[in-house]
Amino acid sequence: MLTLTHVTKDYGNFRAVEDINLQMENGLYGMLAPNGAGKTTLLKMITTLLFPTEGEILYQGMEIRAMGEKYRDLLGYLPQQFGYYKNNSPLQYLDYLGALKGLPQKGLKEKILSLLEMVGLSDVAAKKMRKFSGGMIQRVGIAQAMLNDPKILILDEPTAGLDPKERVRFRNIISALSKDRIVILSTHIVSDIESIANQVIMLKDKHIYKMDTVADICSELDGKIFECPVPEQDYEKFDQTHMVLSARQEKGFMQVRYFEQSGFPSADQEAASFNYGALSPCSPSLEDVFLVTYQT
Amino acid sequence: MKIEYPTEEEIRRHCGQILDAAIPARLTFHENMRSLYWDPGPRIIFHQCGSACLITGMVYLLISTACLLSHDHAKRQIFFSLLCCPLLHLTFSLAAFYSEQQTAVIELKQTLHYSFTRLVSLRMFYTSIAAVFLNLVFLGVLHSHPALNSCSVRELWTIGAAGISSMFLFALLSLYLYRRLGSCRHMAILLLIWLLLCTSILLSEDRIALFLFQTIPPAGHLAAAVSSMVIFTYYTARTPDITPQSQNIFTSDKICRQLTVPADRKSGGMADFSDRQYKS
Repeated sequence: MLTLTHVTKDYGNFRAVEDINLQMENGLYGMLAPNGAGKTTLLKMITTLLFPTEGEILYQGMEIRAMGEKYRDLLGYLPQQFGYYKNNSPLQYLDYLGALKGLPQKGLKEKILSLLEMVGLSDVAAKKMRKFSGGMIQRVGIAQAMLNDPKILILDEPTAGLDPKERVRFRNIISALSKDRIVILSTHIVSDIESIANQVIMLKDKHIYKMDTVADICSELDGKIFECPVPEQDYEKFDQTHMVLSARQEKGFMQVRYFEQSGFPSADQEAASFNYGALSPCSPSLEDVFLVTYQT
Repeated sequence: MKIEYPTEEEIRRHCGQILDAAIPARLTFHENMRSLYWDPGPRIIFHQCGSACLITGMVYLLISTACLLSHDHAKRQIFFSLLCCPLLHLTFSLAAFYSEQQTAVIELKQTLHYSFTRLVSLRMFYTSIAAVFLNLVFLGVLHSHPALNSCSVRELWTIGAAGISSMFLFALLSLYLYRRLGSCRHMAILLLIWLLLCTSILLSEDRIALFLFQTIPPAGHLAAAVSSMVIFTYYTARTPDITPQSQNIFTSDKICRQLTVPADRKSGGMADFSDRQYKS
């Protein structure tokens, strides 16, 4: 179990995160927040790249800083900017990182090959990484993070810059890995975690705003998300008076998805007064929750 | 209901694992020294340091050639001989560190069993030993070919000892500053300081050179060299395996970006969500 107790981090006069309390066991935790909310700061404290200004981080009851290399042996980390040597092949680079992780040479090559197969790079294992696409580099990154079979896997915005196909592939790999370890995935791309996260951690105003399952988080907006068609000429006025979540242009009108705090009856009256088409309530998605939370 | 019980062997193995974790095995002296000064091995310590070696080799060639060509000018030869040791060490450390920064691998390495801090310490340690060895060989060449040098034997070996002690002192300072500051800028500053010091000896009157290399006995310089070497060796092993916190080279750029995020995004405005853009 990984425990964060009253964790605060200051950079001089700037407070990045404040009074963070978390308890995590095996499973996938999606850390969701917009840019600048403190996700990376939190992850760096968990990986001992930064130390909290206040509070402590414990693993199985032991302070992680005091554990030193024993804690790092349990860690797998894919940073937001994953660095690599362009003139190395994945085999060479993973062999190097395996040695830095203190893994014995015996059996390391087999382990590397099985990890490259897991991430779908066994065909290019001996190819120089300068020729790799962004998605392939990220897959090398996930392979290196898994080299030491970590108990805690930290992924900092692993899908940024990847195309949808690569993101889906990544999602499937991560989902399979979360069965017997703590996986913390930080992202501002909701679709990355909506379908795979056991729990979602939302940060707002330097604090933990919510930590719950996707279903429970979304249920808070039940009966408050609607879709209706709005004539194009009325859209601007509608946008000024409502919290629009998305707008899709159809033939002659805008299909608008919006949030109505007071719920259906009021929304229905309003739709009638604006002379719109049929108003339909929608099941809230995590994206809706995100937009509503960080707009208010 | 059938209940699966562990076998006797499994129970013994699990108990053994618990005891091993609770009571770590004692290392022999050899194993301890190996874990402090050898692991993970030179191949890993100097991985991707080829360009740094090349730059340092070129600098060394330049200085040693200049030293040989100054065979009829004692003070100049003293200057080049003295310059060599710390210069090689700092040049290599700076070049290697800069190369690592360009590939953005430092952040990841800092979270591994053998952290980047440890690698830097071991790299400096081995570079110091290599620099000492190279310079002793060079001094030996000068000693065996009197035509190539205009210094006396005593001066020559005194310069050697002074160079070695200054190198270890600079290495110690460099490592200490890295642990505190986490960057390589201080190495460039130390390099500059050493260049200025040596240049001032060259340009100054002979009194300073006389004092350093004739008044102070060779045994004094040797004692300084040995003690600085011992202190540096000890300090290398005492490297705390943690990221230098006072200057975070990984986060400084990101913090600057976060602090200069536009106002509408600072208030919790929207970032990209899947492939769609939303109005704030």
